[in-house]
Amino acid sequence: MIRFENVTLRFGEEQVLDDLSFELEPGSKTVLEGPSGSGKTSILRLCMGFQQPNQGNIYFNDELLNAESISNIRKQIAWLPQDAQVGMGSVRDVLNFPFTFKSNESEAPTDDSLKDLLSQMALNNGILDKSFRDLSGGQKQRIGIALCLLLNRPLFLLDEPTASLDPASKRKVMNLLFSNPDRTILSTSHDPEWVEQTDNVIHLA
Amino acid sequence: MHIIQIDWLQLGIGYLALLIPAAILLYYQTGLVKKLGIATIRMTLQLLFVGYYLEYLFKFDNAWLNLAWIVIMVIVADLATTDRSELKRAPLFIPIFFATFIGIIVIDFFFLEIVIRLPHVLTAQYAIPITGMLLGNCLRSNVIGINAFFYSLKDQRDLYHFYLASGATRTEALFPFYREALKKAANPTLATIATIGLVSLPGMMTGQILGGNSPLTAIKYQIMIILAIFAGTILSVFLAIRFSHSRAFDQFDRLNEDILK
Repeated sequence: MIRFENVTLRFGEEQVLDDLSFELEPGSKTVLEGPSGSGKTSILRLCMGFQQPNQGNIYFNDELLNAESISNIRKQIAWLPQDAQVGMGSVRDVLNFPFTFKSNESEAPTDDSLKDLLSQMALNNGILDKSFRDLSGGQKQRIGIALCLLLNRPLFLLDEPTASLDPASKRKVMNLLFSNPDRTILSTSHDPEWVEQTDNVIHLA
Repeated sequence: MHIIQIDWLQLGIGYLALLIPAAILLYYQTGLVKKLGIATIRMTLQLLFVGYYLEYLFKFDNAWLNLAWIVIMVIVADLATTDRSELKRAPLFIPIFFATFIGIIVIDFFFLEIVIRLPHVLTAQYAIPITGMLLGNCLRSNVIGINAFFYSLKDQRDLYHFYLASGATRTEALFPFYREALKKAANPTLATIATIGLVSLPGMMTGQILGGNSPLTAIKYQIMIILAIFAGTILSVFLAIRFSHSRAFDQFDRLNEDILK
């Protein structure tokens, strides 16, 4: 599904990735492991075209990632950023806004499907009318994951998806994310439980 | 109505009013007295220059000459906008110039030629002061709006990227940032509109009354200029942001942060 070929990334003098190559099969669940600054988040950002490699190429379903292909590639991706800042306004606004985009219009969730998904993630319906900014880190993270699930894209890029979750909600979230065998997941995590659920680990120095 | 003329000696006496704020600022060691002196000298020289220049402009009253003066005013406003909105001048000078110029000319044309119906295009007596008032307000709103847009985009870069990664086009992903920037740019003018006449008597109306016009004529002009200011500022803020796209974003829709200071 996604292939890195000899990718090198530098920030000024600092070498972040050096000649990195890997390939993710469709449906695979992969985690990137390594110390802070080893380039885990950068790999996710490279997949979305928010960073450009200094050398090497990235392919998405054998299509070279470049300025022409990027908008189509982004339509195949659901991304959870590390700080889970995924919108502004009420939680309902946050969950609905991406479905005002032309490419997502046909998949707009109903209020019932939103409530159903929230209850599966141990969030009560009252949260829909709360301000997203006022939520706790764990709640924001679950709303971000809910949005990824609603978008239902083939590739999930998840940056520390369980970092702010308590054990009970973490299990629920992991069940939801790993239950679909067709979904490809590329994640970063320091959480042993998450790492255990994945079938590939890429170690970064 | 008779207009009392002010001679240069009387104007000189007027400067004495500055002794009071200067004394207060000096006593509290604000360090602003020198700044006050420089600002006052600049203001006096600039207005003297404009006063003499306008005398000639009004005498010739040529549409092309008036347009040239408007272009110069827009260039000066453009320089001030890029400076005060903490953006680099080189990449944004041209987009902001055209945005401000179009914003001003469209609104000028509507009010001067369609509403007031000037005897000939860009009559100096009307076009120059009205354009000046419009520009002053556009400058203030542009600074607020453009700064809010680009710096909130920088501060919330991940959110903008999240929208792009969720399938948004650049226009769709920028929608909330436009909304916030326009709100910030419009709010000061809206607050002024809401309290006008109660809290303050605006400059144009005061000027017309002092110039011997009836208060009713003065308020008609004042209402017109407020409508023009609001329309002109929102149009120029929107266009300034829109025209900056080609310099501000790359092929991957990322903000080019080099345009920020």
